[in-house]
Amino acid sequence: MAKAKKTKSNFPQHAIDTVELIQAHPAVLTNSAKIEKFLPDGSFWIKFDINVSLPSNAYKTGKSDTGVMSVEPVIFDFPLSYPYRAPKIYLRDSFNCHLPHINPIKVVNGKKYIPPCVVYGETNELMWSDQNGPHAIIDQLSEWLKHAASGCLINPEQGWEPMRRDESSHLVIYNIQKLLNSLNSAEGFKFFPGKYLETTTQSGKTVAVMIEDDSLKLTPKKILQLLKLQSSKENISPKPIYALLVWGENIASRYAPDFVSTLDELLEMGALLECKKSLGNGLNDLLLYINQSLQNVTGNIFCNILLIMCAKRPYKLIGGNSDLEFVPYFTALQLEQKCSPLTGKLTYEFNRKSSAEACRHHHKLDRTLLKKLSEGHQEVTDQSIIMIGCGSLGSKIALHLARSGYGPFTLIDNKIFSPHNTARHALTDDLRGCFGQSKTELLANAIGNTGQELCNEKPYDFIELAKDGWKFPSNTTLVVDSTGSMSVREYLSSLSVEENPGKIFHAALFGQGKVGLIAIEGPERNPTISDLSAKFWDAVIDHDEIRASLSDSTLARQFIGQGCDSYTMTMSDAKVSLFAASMAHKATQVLKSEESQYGEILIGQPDESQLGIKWVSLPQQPPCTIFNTSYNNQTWEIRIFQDVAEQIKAESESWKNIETGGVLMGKITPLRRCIIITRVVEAPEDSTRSENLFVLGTSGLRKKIMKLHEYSCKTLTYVGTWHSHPMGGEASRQDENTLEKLKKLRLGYPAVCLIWTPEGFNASIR
Amino acid sequence: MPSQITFFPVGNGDMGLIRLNDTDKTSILIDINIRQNSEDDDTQCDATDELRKRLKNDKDGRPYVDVFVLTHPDQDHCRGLQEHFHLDSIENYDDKPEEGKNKKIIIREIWSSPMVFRRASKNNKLCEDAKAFNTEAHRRIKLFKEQGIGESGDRILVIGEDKNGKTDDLQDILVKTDEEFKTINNKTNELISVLVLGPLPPQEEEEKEEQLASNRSSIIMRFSIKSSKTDSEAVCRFLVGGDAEVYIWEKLWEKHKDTPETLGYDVLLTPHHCSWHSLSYDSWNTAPNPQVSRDARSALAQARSGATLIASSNPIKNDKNDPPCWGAKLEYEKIAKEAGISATFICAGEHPDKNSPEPYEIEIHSEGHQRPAIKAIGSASIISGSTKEPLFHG
Repeated sequence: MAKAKKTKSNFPQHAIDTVELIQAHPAVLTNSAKIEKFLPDGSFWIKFDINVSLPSNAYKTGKSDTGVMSVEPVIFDFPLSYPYRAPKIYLRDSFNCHLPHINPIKVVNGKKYIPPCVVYGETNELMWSDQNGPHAIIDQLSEWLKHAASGCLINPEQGWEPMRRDESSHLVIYNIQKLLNSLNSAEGFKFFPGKYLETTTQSGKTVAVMIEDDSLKLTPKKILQLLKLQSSKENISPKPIYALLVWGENIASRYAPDFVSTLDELLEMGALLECKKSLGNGLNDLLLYINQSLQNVTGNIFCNILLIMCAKRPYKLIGGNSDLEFVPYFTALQLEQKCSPLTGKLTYEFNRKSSAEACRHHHKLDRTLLKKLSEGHQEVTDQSIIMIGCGSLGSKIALHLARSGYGPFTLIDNKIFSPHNTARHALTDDLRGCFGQSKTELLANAIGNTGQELCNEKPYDFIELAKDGWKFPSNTTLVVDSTGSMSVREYLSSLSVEENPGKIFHAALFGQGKVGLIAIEGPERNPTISDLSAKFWDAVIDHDEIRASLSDSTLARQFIGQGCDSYTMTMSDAKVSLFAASMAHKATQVLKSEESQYGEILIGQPDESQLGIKWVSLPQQPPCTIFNTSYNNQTWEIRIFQDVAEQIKAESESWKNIETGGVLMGKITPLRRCIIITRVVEAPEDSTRSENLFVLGTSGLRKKIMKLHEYSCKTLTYVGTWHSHPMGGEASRQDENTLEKLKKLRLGYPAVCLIWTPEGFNASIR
Repeated sequence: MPSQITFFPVGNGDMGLIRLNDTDKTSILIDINIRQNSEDDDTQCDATDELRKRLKNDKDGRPYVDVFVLTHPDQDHCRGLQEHFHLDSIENYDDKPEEGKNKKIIIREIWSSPMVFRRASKNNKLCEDAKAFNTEAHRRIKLFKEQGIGESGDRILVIGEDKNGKTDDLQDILVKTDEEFKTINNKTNELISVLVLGPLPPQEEEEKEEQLASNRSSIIMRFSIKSSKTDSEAVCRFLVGGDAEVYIWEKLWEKHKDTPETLGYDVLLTPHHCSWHSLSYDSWNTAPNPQVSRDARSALAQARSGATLIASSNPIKNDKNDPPCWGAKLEYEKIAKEAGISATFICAGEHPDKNSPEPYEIEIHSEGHQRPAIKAIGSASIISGSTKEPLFHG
């Protein structure tokens, strides 16, 4: 007893406490938990016995058909970093390792341990999810052993569990579909070019290998080049490598956890995976080329190769749609010269003790991968996106879309990247300290880094470019206007659907990031983003809060160099990102959804916490009614929002056979000869209505219009009048007189005369 | 998924679900006791939620069971039937239940024993759920008489031949006591066969008939289940006997003592929520030295190696209560012990712990039935309420 006490006290208290904690688990056999060993590095092993639920008949022999015992010894290997890192779990070396969900076999001092994989994801996190820490792991282990006992660790309906590789430190990246497509015979082998990067970390050397999609034919010259570069003393990174892919025709239906650390063991694994013959042929082929390329060379050399064995499984893999499993190893082949007993010549042979290490596979970066991670599916379709403006907002929106797998992109912006752009931009200059690359080039590089093929890059002013004959690609799906430019907005609005088949998405920020605007045009470019932005200003009249934010919307002059200033807003990168993220999110919705029958306006403002953005959606805007009419021998366009038209109709009808009318507000764009009518103002009190005459009064009208003009941030004005002709007919003499009188209100600019008749509208400009 | 038998912790009441690993994933629900969750008892298992999680939906998105067996019409065996199950022609199914309510569960085939109903109503008034069950059973029987075996949702099996020719015109849907059948919802099942051991047939002597009625006559069934078609014989025998009491078990032993394997089981739902009265005529509460009936015990003691005996009851305390009864628990533990060290007695109301019981799930594999893995989380959760912190993303 005294001795036991002494032994116990040799261990630190936290290890003793952990034994007690484990002992308290209901599945742990009474008095079975003990400290097995305590290592100088502070890690310790606790051994205990666990009760396993076996199928009832298995108790007769104490062992299930799958070899699981009713009481199983278990070792928990607690690292020094416990409790922030979970213990590793080992089962006895005689445990049936041909069951699924087993991690690569662990060998300590020549003794084998079987590590079960008891949880999807991180054991560390699992342990922290429960207050009793290791109990959560024992729970999982208890369940795992139960399933192991009844042979139910996997369910064929769910799929074949690929060999566990979660803990391998080496990484290999390839496009699995391309490799699958390259298997063109029942069995065989192929070489693929690639490159690898070696990194030294705390836990040792790790290798990351990237394999290209297309196979290649070996030649002695290529091999020589490879061996030279791989053994070069110069600091070449990444270095070239070849991948040898081998596959067999028989089904490998037996599970085996990884045990490979040498070439010998790799050949053994090859047999288990039914790839033995192809593996032998592939390695012989490689050796042949090595010997051909090194005819006059002496001394031992090495060759790094990535060996990928492809095993045919009895059914489809979990989470995939193929029954083929790729099992990759990074192999450092040692080549030794031996004298051939047949020819007496010196030839190179592989040292069978050459090291081979398991690699984790990660999918190659491409749009499919990004789509899967962003949206949960892998359907990638080409939707040509034109980014007009690659500034802070545009660059962020573009990268959000690219990271979600959307594309391809055409980038249009004539600016170069200057030091001050760094304050808020998705990009940073590649050549630090040497600014001057075009924003489109930088953005194209950044999008390229998301695995997209090259962007169409146009470092020009958009309008100049368009006037120069540049055409929108015929498959244009979305045009994002983030230029902050009225001229671009108006030009885009003027284009026909044939000239630009894509949907225009207008994104803008106002008032130092106090207001954001998204305007998405309607079908057939009606309403246009120009119409919608007029409607936005019209909405501002009724939204005091937005108007207040916009009142200090003037661009401030920022000195970005001596004698150089930029008219821009003061705003942090984070704030731009808040808006850009929502805008990109909306853009993906547009890309995903069916063609909408309406134009859309969304207004964003910081929420109460000032941390998020609260978006308000204005009522959906159906197409405007459009009239082309002549004024001073030129064609003008009058565009009437549907809600305005309906309001006029409703009022006219309510007066039955009496003429009525009112004032029209909106936006007049003489440069495009376009008038957009966004609002109806009620006729003043002194107006008179009769069966064949409506006389618009003037009482308080000027004041009212001025107020509305002021409230729309001076964007909307008086654009004309309307009145009804319940019995039909065109403008009368009296109407003309009224118009003349009202023109004085607006310095002689043309004014719309809109007449409602039961048959429809009639518009003219005077 | 392997075939499974689930025992829902529903207090002193029964609710068991067999789900087979056949092509159709056939489900057989035996009794229900779906109580309203009261606010002050949030540890109570949400039986309807747990049941619905395990049911499949048909092509119209309606949840269903292939079979619902009502062993006898006591409230603690049919509570919640009207609220949660569709009891009418499928034509009248409500696909849009009012907000906060679930779609009702369709019963494709009912197994009912009018004889058990008759005996039950002799001594007690039927509860509303039992009446509703009876009405639905009658609807289906009437339909059968008019049109023959009906469609899913209209089908019924009548368990036990009644006297005076009452069941004579039901031959195609009648299963007599001591008959074994494999037709589940009008389709021969490859994994299960059902032996009807009770209700015991009508007795000539009125006194004996009275005894059957007062001993809570119930449907008694032995389900023989294979884990897959490749099993040469059933690997799990599951015996269910409703609330049948001592006289009935004595009679069963008398009948089968020469072939005791007829009563053999791997899984036993101990009758009447671990009641002493299934084993003894004496009162556990008042008799000075209550005695176990040897024959009734023998009928319930045919446990096969590694058997699991389950009480569907509240936690069993060492007191005078019955059911569940401490004395009965001790007796069943003895029976388990006789069936080898790996056999065990379990109270569904105590699994994994008394304060927050969870459904007890037995899996059926080629090597026999397998009990749940032993876990700690249940017991840990009492201390701090909820201990599971959701994993988050960085």
